[in-house]
Parts: sequence; structure tokens; C-alpha cells
Amino acid sequence: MRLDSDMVLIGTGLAPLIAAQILLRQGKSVLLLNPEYDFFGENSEFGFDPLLPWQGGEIARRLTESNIEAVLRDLQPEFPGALETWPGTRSGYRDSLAPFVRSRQRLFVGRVEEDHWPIREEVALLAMEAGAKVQTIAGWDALKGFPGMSANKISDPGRYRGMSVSKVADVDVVRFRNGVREFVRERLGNEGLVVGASPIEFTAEGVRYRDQGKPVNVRVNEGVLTFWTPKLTSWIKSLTEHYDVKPTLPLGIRLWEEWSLLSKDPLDPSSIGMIDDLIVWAAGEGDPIETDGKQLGVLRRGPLHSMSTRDDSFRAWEDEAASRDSFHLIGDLTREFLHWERFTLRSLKVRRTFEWADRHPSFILFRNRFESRVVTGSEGFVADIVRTARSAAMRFIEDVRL
Amino acid sequence: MKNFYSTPFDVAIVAGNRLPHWPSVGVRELSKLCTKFGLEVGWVGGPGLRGRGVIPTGSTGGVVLAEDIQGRTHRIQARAIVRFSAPDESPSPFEGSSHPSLFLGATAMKLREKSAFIWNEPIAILGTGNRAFSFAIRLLEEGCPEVILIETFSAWEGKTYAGWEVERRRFEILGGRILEAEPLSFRKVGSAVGEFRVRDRKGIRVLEVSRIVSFGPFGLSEPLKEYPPESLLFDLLQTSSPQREKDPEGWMMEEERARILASKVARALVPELGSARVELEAIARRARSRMKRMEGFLADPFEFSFNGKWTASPVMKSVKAFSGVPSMLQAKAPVASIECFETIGCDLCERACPTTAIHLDRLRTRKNDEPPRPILDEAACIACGLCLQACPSATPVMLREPPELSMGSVTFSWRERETPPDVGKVVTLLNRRGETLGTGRVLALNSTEAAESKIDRKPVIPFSSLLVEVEVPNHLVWEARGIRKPRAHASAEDQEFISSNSREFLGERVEISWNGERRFVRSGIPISTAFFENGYQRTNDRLLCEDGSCGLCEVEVDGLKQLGCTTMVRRGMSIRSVRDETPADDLCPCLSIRGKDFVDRVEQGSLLSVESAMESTGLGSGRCHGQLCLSAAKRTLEATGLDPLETRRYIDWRFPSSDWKIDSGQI
Repeated sequence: MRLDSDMVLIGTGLAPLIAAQILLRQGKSVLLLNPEYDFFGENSEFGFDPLLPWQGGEIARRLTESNIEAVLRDLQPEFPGALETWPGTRSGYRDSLAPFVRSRQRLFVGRVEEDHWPIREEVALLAMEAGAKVQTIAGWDALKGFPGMSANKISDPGRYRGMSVSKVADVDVVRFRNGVREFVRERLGNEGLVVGASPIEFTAEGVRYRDQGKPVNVRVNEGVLTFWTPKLTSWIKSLTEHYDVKPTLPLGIRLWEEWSLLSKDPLDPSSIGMIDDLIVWAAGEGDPIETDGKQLGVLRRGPLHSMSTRDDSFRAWEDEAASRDSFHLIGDLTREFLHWERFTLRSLKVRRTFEWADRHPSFILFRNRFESRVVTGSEGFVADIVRTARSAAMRFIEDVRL
Repeated sequence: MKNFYSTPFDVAIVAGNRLPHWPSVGVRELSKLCTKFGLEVGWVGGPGLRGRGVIPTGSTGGVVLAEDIQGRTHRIQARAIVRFSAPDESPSPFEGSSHPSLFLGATAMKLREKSAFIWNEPIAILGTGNRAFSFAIRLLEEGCPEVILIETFSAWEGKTYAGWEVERRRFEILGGRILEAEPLSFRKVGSAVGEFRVRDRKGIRVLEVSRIVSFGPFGLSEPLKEYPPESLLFDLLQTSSPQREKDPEGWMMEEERARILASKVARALVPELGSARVELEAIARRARSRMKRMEGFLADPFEFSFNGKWTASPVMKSVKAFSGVPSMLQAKAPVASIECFETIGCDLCERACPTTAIHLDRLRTRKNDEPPRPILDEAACIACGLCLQACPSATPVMLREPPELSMGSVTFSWRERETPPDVGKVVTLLNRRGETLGTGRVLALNSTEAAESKIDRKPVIPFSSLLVEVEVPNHLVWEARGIRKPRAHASAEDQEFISSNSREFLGERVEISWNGERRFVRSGIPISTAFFENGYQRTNDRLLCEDGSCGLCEVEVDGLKQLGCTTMVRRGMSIRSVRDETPADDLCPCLSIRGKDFVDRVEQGSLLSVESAMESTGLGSGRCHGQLCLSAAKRTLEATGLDPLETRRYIDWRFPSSDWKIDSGQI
């Protein structure tokens, strides 16, 4: 089978869907290829910015970009329906199944004896200068709003101090991705949005792939954008070797563990707590008031693995997921900090993101009859992904015009 | 850190939730073959070490988290993980499919075997696999007045039911009925009677039954799955019973699947196999071939046809020409007749025969790629009756057909709970579908003592030890295949029925408080079982898992929340229900997701993968982690033509599949 398309987009998550929408608006014909079975297998997309490690001027910028107003400004134009906000007005029609963008306080708690605290305060100052509303708090006030805290058992509140940043956004990733995907599918049809397209190869004319075992050749008129997520790493690396391109590589791949614990008591959904390398929040989609609010999400920032030796690196992940250290941290969090006697473990997901030294520059794989670019920054916080996809699509359109 | 142990293995074999027994034959066979090729194998299962979850970690294999009997956490890292799962028996949703009177097959079997629960009302069973037949037969043998099997998926290759013809024959001889129909609704109309509406080819029927038992299979499924593809993360269905004799087909199929899997795992993990590769390929090839032969009954079914009450002449000709039935010597003395015409995965008669008069002709059939059929060496048959007792379907009989006399005899295996008819008494003779042919007279009651098998020297476990020899007219020797005691006076019959149903589970009864009321219940049984025995059925006890994996059966015991399946009844305890009953038409009782809403969501969203369907609807994220709804949801999608890609092969690895309460002080 043979097809023609102005643009081919390749990716496993949200980024190619956003780019497809933008390119369609510009009147381009688009073919979207996903080597995975669906866009729901992508696990590198976060509903909020982890803001870890809490150091360096970068955090101040990220904090302002995570502000609910900034996030809504980014997301709303690219979502083909209504986005609900929380807390929001209770009157009028609210679509309880729509993606929610929640505004919560980010509460960073540390121990008084920690050496890093002055560094963290400096970050807070930078954030304040950038427009974030930061408040420093101490003792009881720092602890009482922490999700899952058994407030009546706190014996030594003076050991802790904290900082809170208000109006930090978190988004229902699955609902957002699904909404965009449904819209793009309607526009492109099953022929234009292909999942399970594997293996994908570049040819002189365009792209060749297999769709349910049948080979398909696509003639590409303008270009190919590949959105690089950790799942595509081995394929991208083989392409760079094949085309002899030496792009700036990430420092490595960061392992994240997302634990889901069941709390005995309902959780306060108004803040997302941070302590050490852990982020703790009342998990769930939609309006937190309508859900049972007993599921405590804990995101642990795990080790960083080098990109150099892929196979060794993969083996090392297996060594470190759900490791002794993870259990140790979860045990400390629940017993020492939250003062829980017992907890119920419901699930554990392993997530991966890239970590870059400074920026994440996209690169050109080859340029002949058409151009093939690899877009980095297609994983992480959902608002960042939308920004990346939008700028990659717009830049490509500009370059073609020139 | 104390109480945390980390161990690497090549292959981890993990027991899934609600496994009826561990380790099963598949676990042993898989381990044996993997270790033979130099792989280190670890077992995670049983009461000593309970698997809590599997975490896929990327390339191949993953991490198993487990908890031992002392509450310590074990992290088992493996390059390949095989989880053994219990069969899923949830029906596709219909109005009333969440009614507490609908039991899952495993729950019903536990209640029949281990509990004083009484099955003395009409029962409908969903599914026509061998497990369904076997359960239905046991109920009828124990005196259940009516059992109706309902086939909801009549597309079993060449057949209209999923099990063996011999099981169907036995079921019908005992008075059971089979319907090909689609369940529509169920509701209780009285304390003991429910109205079960089904739609068959002729229209809507209303069946009056007290309970529905859901067995399946409800469609073609994948008993051995790998997901994600090439990840070396497998799920293997446990089809075997603790005893081979209880379900020889399930036992052998699991064994063969384990061999195929071991071959795949060893080829993937052992770097330099050399000549062993050929051996592994041969193991897998032979296993596939044997499985194909065992499933021969699906492609080549045998159907009896009747001319009135009599077996149709062409069928009778093929019966008499069959290799397993006697051709001459029955004229002189009783000879066994192995009337198992289909090609099935069972060899119990061969194993039981002390003189090797019965054997399965594997060599000939393998050459022709046909499944083995029983061959009877008449001259070697000593009429011991062991084959009659060993057959789970009670198919063999012993025939005597003296040509010079008008009367011959047929010997049957007596399996009913009621006492056998006395010698000299008249019994009703039944044909192969349970219709009355006439009467016969009991000549003798013989008991047999099973010995060990000549083949593998293992003991043969008989289903009964009593043989009833009945004098029948010669023209009925090839027709009569069942007997029934003639109906006695009504009150006497009732008395007999009641006594036949009273089980010897008297035990000690203790007083407890039950939602504020005084009750007497058996001591030392799980609270969930006590609920069933005392007529308090809850949808939440549907899985009766006994391992606390679903967490649905929560009750408040003396003010503390406990699981009903793992907390034993003791004197003086105060029990309160803590959960509301589930609406009757939910696909997911935990999250109250209706089947229709689920289908609508998938349809509207053009959802393509199981992940997307589950993420978008929340299915499987409730308290039981999809144990009640996931398979039903997949079948619903298949039935509506919305089957996302890879539905059958999908494995839900979300961790853990059960609640895991951890004392944070321990870690």
C-alpha cells in the first residue's frame, strides 16, 4: 500500500497528538505513527511537575510555569473540549468526566537540622522574584497540611519547617491525552492514526512501516517529526548511528517509582507535599471531593542511569525498582513522618524520564528530499509536553515557509 | 534494613490469587524442565510465601514482591516470570448478574465440598465445559431435583457445548437439561425461587431456579499468555485439580502448556544451548501435538442421534464397530465396554485396568495425526469393574449378552448418594439421554477395591466402589446406559431426599451476634462461609477466595474491620456488615460501572487497547483489582465487536492484585 502525506509524526505519547492537531489546523495532511499498541502505554507523562531536585534557578522558572494560570494558558488552546478546574465554582454545569486542572499548594517540608535548607530558601526567593507566591512556615503549620499526616500523633513539630507555594497545577493526564486522541482520531481516521506501526524505517521517498503485518510505504512531502520518549530510545540510538548524527544526549534516564498506598482516613486534597526525594498527594482523577480520597500517591525520584550502555542500564533498573531503599523510604515516610501504624500497598508503577544537563535540544536526523527531526522534551510534566510539541510543530512550519 | 530480602532467579513462578492448590502439575513440570537446562527457578506461592505483585521493569522479566509467613518482605528479581492464575468464571454482564444468588464455579465447588451448604433447589449453571458438567453431575447424584446447563457461546468449533460428549451423556442420563441460550435477567421472586429469563432460538424462556452457578468457559480464551509481547512475563491458567483423576483433561493440558512454556523460556534465557536446542524444540513440538490430539473432540465431535427412544441405526452400527466395545465375548461372560467415542484427553480407564485389556492406541493415531482412542482386548478383560469405577463420567459398563437367552445384563457404577437398590428389586432403565426404556432387576451388588496402576504404579482413585449388575432384556443390552430407583411413596421419597442431603458437618454450633440478632452458626469456619450456610448471601462474598486477595468480604467483628474469608467464627463474636449490597446490573461491583456504560465509553472513544479502555473507564482499579470484572469486560467487548487489539493476550500486571497491609515498623 502507498500513501502520501505532508507530515509524518512518530511517537508514543501526547506530544505527537498535540503536534498533529496544530499541523491539521495549518492545513497539512498528517500521518501519525505509534510503534506501541496505543497511546495509553506511555508512562513518562506526569500530571504535575515533580520540581525535584529542589535546587537551582531552574526550579524558580518551573514553579512559575506550573502556576495554574500559566498551565491553563498552555493547555486550553490545545484541548478540543472543556477543561474543568478545581477548586472551582460549584454552580453551573460541570462535566465530571472532563480533564481537571487542579490548583493545589505545593508544600515542601524539611527537617530543621538539614544542611540544604538555606539553598532551598534561596530557590524560594528566586521563585518569589519570578512571581510565585511562596510562604515559609514552621513546626505545626508546616506539617498539618501535609497529605496523609496523622495530625494528632505529631509529637515534635519543632523538628520541621516548610515552604509552601500556592496555585501549583496538576492535570488529569489520562483524560487529557484521551480527549486529544479522540479528536485527532476523528480528524485523521484509522488510516491517519496508526498504532502498532512497527518496525518503522526511513526510505528515500518517505517512511515505510508495517501495519498489522502488511508493509505500507508513505511518500513524505515536507518532513518527519519523531517525538523521543524513553520507550523509543533504542530505535533513536540506532537511527543516530545509522545516519552518523551526534546529538546532545541526555545525562541519563531517571527512574521514578509511583506508589499507591491506601490511607485509613480521608486525605486532604488541597496540597501536594514534598519531603526528601518523595512527593506525596491525594491521588485520583476528577474532582477530589467527589472521590473517596483515601488513595495516597507517593512519587519517588529514583536513580539516574547513563545512556551509554543501554543493556547494562536496563539491567540496573531491574536491580533498583522496588528495592530495599524504596521500601526503606516508604517505611520512614509512613512511620516516622506520617505516623501511620500500618499501610496498604495498592500499586507500584515504574516511570522513566530523560534528564538533561541544561536544555534539551532537538536535532535533525537527515535532510534530503524531506527533513527528519527528532524532538526532545516529549516526556515529563504534561504542560511542558504541550509546549514542546507546539513549538516543534510551529517551528517546522516556519522553516518550511522560509 | 531488617525484614527485607532480595533474591535473584532466572525464572520466578508465582501463584496468582485464589489458586485452589499449589504447586500444581504445571508448576512442577515447568520447574523440572527449566532446571534441567541450567536455569535457577524460584517458587512464590503457598501459605509460607505469598506473592503480592509483579512489577514489569522494562526489557524482560521483572520483580516479584512477596510476603512470608513472618511478615517479611521478599523482593525476587527474575529474568522470566510465570504467574499461574485461577480460571475466571464471571459471566458476561446481564441484568441481575451481580445478584447474590449467582455463585462463581469455584465458590460453588468449595461450598459443595467443604461446607454444609445444601443444594436442594433447582439450579442453573452457565457454561458447558467439563468442570460445569462435573459439578452438575455431582449435584444430580447428590439429589438436586433439577439442574439446567446453559450454553451461552455455542461456537466450539464443531460442537454446541464445550465439554466432552461422555460428560454430557452422563449429565443427561441423570436427568439434567442443556439449553443453548443467552441470559437476559435474574431476579428473586420468593425466598427460594428466582426468575431467570433466557433467550433461545424459540424465544424467551423463564426458568424457575433458586441459584445460578457460573462456570464457563464463555468464549475462546488464551490459557497461556505473554504480555507485553516478548517480555518473558507469562500468565498460565491453572486447569489441573489437586488429583489427576478429578480432571484428567485439565491436568494433562496444564502439563503440556508448561512444557511448551519451559521450552520457550529456556531458549530465551540459556545463551548457548547447542544440541539442547533441538531437544527443547522437540519437547515443545510433542507437547503441541499431544494438545492437538486432546482437543480432537472439538473438531471431531461425536453426537448420538435417536429414533424415538432408540439409538438411530447408523449410530448403533458405529457404536458396535468401535474399538473399545466388545464384539464377541459378551455372549459368554460379562466384558467391559468402553463407550468413549470421542477423542479426549483422558486415560484413566487404561491406567486402572489391571490386565492391560484397555489401552489407548497412541502409535497408530499419532501416525495418522488422530487422537488416541481406547482399544479393548476382550480376551484379557477379567470383568473386575475397575474401569467402571475409575471413569469420571461413569461411561464404561459391563455387558453380558447370551444369545441363547432372552435376558442379558448390564453392570453400572453406582455414584448416587442415596442407597443402591437391593438385590432382586426392580429398577428403571434409561437410555443414553435419560429417557425411560423399561425395567430391569438387580442381580448383584459388587464392590471393587482399587489397586495401583500397572502403568505408573500410582494408586488408582475410584469415584465409587459399588457396582450394580442389572438383568435387562437382550434387546436393551446396547441401549440401557443408566438406572434409576423407581419412585417411592411421596413422603418416603421426601424423607430419603432430606436424609440424602444432610451432610455430616454438624460440628459445634456457637452463638454469635449477627447485625444485632442472635444466631447459632458452626464454629471454626470462615465468616463468609457461615453467611452462605445461614442463607445470608452477599455479592461481596462471591469470590470466597480464602486468601484475602479481593478484600470485598469485609465485615466488622467486635468493632474491628476484618475479612470474612479469613476470619473464623468463634463463640460470642459480634459481626456487622460494613458494605452495602451491590446493584444487580453492574459490570464492576466495586466501582458500580455498568456494562452498557463501559461499552459506550469504548465505542465513543474508539479505544484501541485494553490499557486505554481501562484507563478511560477506571475498570480494574477498584477494590478487587479486576478479579470480578476484567474477563467479563473483555468478553463484552468481543461480543459487541469492539474488541481492542490484544484483548485476549492482555495481562493486568498492576501491582498488587490484592491489598497488602504492611506494618511500617517492620520495614
